[in-house]
Amino acid sequence: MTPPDSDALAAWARGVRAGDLASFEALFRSLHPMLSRIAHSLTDVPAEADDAVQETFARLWEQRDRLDPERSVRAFLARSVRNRMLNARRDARTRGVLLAEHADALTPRHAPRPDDAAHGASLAGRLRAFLADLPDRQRTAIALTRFDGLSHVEAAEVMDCAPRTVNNHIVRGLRTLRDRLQAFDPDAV
Amino acid sequence: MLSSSPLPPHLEDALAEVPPDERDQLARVWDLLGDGGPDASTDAAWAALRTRVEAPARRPAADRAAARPRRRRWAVLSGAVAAVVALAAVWTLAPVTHRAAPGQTAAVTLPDGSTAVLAAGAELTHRRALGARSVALDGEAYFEVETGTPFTVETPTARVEVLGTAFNVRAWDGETAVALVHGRVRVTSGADTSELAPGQALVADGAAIEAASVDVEQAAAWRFGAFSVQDRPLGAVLGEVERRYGVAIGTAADAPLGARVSAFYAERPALDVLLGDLGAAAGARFEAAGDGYRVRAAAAPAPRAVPSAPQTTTTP
Repeated sequence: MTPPDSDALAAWARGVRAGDLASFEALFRSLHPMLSRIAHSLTDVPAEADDAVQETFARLWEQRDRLDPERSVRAFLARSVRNRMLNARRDARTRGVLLAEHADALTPRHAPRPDDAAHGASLAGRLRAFLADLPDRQRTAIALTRFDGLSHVEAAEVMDCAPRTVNNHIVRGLRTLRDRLQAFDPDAV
Repeated sequence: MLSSSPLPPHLEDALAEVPPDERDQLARVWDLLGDGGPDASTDAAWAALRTRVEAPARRPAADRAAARPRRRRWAVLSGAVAAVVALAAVWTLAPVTHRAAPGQTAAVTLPDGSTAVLAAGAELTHRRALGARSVALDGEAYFEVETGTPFTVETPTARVEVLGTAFNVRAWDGETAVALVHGRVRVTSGADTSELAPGQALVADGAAIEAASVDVEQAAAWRFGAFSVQDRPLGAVLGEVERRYGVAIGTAADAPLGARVSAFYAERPALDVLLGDLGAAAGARFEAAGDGYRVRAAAAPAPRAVPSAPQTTTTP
């Protein structure tokens, strides 16, 4: 799928601001796949990713008067998804402390390891598991810009850093991924 | 090997100083990263979101006009001319089945403009018989029905007749629970018949009907992402968890599946939070197993030689 051009996005954003549900649907259909892929790259829990994307769009509609059509709506939504997921993780940690008394009711699920048979033997499957192990900012930089996602300028806006820094995170992440793939299968790369 | 580079321009620039061999390796990794991600189910996500963002007074059928011109025509016709409805009954239409996938809800606009939101795993079939609108439901759904036209929901264990009403029907595990938000419905199960007033709820098991004391708004709040169980056995609740989260939960022989639990979360809780709370409430313990979980009693199993060892607290 080709990424929607920014003129169309800006037009839809103006429509959303004016309360036009059809514009909102068009915007949703155009950006939902990309934001879903980004969200799924940022967590190992699919439901968490789906919730973050859904809540982000619901919030966008509720607070549509705050939308600025002059700025990248893609970057705005990606930032919102990422913040939501960071908050959810923080709340889960807080909640984890409160839940100490319940802790013995649940044996925590360990994060999927690349060696798990359940994780699939495909190279792409391994790679996604390796991606999950990267430092947060490297993982985020890759998740935002891969999958027909954001430009590195938009990603820089989301991550509050210079575009150049986004590139550095991506390259460092790619190097680590390459090393781990080679360790797993010398012919892989 | 020569291959055209899949790298976007900004990465090409960033890798300008890197030796060609390494550059190709990193390009290959970048390329591989594009594979194997889950496909987003945008249609289902939009259907669920649409029910949230629309003002309640709005007619959903009209908003979907562009996507479903045929349905809109139906809504307009049947709303305008009653005779057309009668005519429609003469047409033999193949039944239409809608299904909500595990972990998702689905919004359905019925031919007359009434709406149903299906809970994860629910199946709704609509057909027409002698002018009466009638749907068959297996699972849970929330209905908003237009005033004045007879409308029935049939589940395996009950029939719900409706006159202009919003209500929740939960038909899982051999029983049907109906919670009425506003309007009026009559429920028949076996030889028993009962009418509900707003705020009331009941449970029908195919033979008899019993009044249920539940918060009807909470019972219907799942369509906004809430998780609500009110005094139900753990076994039934876990069925709900499996459908809502698309996860498999196995049971050990000593799992306290009959323990009754109540819980309400205004927003969909994280799965580990929910299981932790359910376990604490029911005296159960969840362990990761395969792709899902396995539930057993919280206390270490008593040695067989001591048959009267105390059990964890459960309400029979």
